[in-house]
Amino acid sequence: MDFDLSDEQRMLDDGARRFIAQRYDLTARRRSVESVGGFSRDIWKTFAQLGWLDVNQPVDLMVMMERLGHGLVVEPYLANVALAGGLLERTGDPAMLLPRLGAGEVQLAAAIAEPQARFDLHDIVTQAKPTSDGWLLSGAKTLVLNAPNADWLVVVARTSGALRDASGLSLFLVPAKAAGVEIRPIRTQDDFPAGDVRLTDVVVGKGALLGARDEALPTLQRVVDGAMMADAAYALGCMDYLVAATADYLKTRKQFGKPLATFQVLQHRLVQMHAALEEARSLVIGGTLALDDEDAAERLAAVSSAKVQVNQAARLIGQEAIQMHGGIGMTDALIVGNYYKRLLSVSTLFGDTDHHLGRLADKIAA
Amino acid sequence: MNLKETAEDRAFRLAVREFVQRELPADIRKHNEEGWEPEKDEMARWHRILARQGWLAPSWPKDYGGTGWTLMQRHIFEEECALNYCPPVHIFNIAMIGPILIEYGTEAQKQRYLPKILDVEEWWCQGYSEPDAGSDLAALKTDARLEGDHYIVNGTKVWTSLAHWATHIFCLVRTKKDGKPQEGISFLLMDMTARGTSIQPIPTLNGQHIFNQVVFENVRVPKENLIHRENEGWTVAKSLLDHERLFLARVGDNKKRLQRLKDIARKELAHGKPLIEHDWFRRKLAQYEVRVRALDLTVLRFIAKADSGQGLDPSVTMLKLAGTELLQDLLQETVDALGYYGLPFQQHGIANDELAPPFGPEHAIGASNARFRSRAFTIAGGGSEIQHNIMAKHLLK
Repeated sequence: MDFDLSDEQRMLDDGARRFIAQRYDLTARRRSVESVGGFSRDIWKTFAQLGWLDVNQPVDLMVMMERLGHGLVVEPYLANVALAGGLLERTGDPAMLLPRLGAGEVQLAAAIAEPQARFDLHDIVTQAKPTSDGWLLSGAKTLVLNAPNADWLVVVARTSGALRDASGLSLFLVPAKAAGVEIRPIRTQDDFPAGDVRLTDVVVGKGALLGARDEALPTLQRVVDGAMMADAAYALGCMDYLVAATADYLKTRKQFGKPLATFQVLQHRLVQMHAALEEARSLVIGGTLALDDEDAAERLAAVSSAKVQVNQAARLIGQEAIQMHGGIGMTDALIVGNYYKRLLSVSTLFGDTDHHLGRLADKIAA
Repeated sequence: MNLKETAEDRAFRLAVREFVQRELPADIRKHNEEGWEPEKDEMARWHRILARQGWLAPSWPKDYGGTGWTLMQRHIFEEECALNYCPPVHIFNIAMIGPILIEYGTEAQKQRYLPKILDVEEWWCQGYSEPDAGSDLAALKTDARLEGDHYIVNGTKVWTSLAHWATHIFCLVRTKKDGKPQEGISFLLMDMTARGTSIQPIPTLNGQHIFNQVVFENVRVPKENLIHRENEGWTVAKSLLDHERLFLARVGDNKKRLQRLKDIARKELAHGKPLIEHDWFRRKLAQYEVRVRALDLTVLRFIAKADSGQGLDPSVTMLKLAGTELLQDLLQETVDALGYYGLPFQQHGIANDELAPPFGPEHAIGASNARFRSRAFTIAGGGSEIQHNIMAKHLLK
């Protein structure tokens, strides 16, 4: 057993830690949120120069994401690197986009979820019909992270089979500006750009197909598992920040003539927050290291367990941080509320607690 | 024992229901159903409708414009209003300063202020919390110094909900610095337009304007605006909580949010069929039903006891704890039921802003906001930790 980071991973961690400390204070974050597209192009360029947009090994990604989470970074790292980048990585990247992603030259988005699907990756209505020289895509996608900024969309569509069949899904690379692509931009509650994407008879060439026709689900599942663990690592950073911020507040805030930290009931609740975080950390390490496991059942158990614990810890820690800060915790001026909102999104993205308990329960029954 | 509503109470319930269903404007109902806080204009319109019927201030004595209802009737009224998506009444006017004026005000004070509340002309806010006096309210420092016929007030109030609507503020101020902190506090009525009064909004984490900071710089307050006696304001502030605590359980709100959660679960899909058709989801609904029933019957037991003249048990405090936590859980569960449609930032009133148009199915629009707002329910009006302290003190005495 070895839970230590390698020297390279430690360097990545230190570099990201330094960047957050020196370049990503509250003002910088607010500037990013208020920029066109909801992120800073300068900061994105810096990420590229530091080599952070090329990160793809699970543990490297975990290290990176935890640091980004600690700084509550809004730059669309998850959508580009973990999700769309992951899909390209596993399908051979025929359009050679990954080097350009690494250089910070393109923005990507993965259009996966659909309005009726909740968290089921195979619940896909979007159709891709073969034509003489390519494909015709039609359908609707929801909450596509980074959609408003994307130059390219990676779209999951059905090429055969019935709704909810496990086989018959394929991946396509679609230019976001293609005729028939309509993106309705929104911000998520936690300040990330996203959008609903409607595809109406979108024409793409034969080369748009990514990976094997009809067999996308296993690839999709693995990449989503990876993105899920990456986002879980981001949540570790958020939770770490909130537990420390709450401890600091308890030590400094005085009521009834003494620091809040002297009240045993609050001490115990802080301990529960900390314990929930550490259990989440253990399972995220477990889930991340299982991502390359060829045993699908073992992978599922490790990843979904981590996700359940992170979702639950995220809620507990986010809510308790606000409650223990009192009125100030409810304000936009204090960053605590922003961490809480991000943690709530984490606890829904890629499947809420019920969804992953369901996956684990099905595995037990199988 | 008989847990059935009496024929009279049943008839009263139906009369209230008929009234609110007929009178509540559709736009206000929709806004409330979606989960948004009422706008001032909506609240004013609803107040006027209730005032015409004589139902704006049910808790006040009949002589002052109240209804003379039993607590059970008040409970039924509150519940029917909530179940039919009426906005709440302005609690500072109706549940707080009104009853205080009636109990402690001079005849002149009553004449001056009460009619303007019933006429929906004046709006009050509550100046209690301060930067260093939150859960420890008695630590408040806002200074009021008597100079001739006026108090000169200096200090800062925070978390002042809806101060930006208010024409007046009732304030706890310090008039004596030595002795026990509770014994140097006075209760003052202040005009929000008085020179030296300023308001800064404190936006909430979900981008709403509810809270404010109110700063007083040498504000002159006529001596006759003192309520009760100098240095006895703590007694005044504490008195208003008794019967109102029954209604902090939010029984009607809880029932309607559970109902709405079920409605949403019939529309939202999971694994190819409605959420409500899944056993695992119905078990969650069942657990909420248990909690709502427990809250409901417990409130009814307190009410029945009080209506039969046996007074209010001090453990009534538990109702705020149970009711607010249940409501928080229900509102979060509602967002969860929406899946990915629970994630967009949606804001009422700025529908033209390209970043925040209503998004997704109609039943999703205000759910996230209502959930965020509810986090304050266990902080405001005596946080849950303080409620636990009060209960423990009672149980261990």
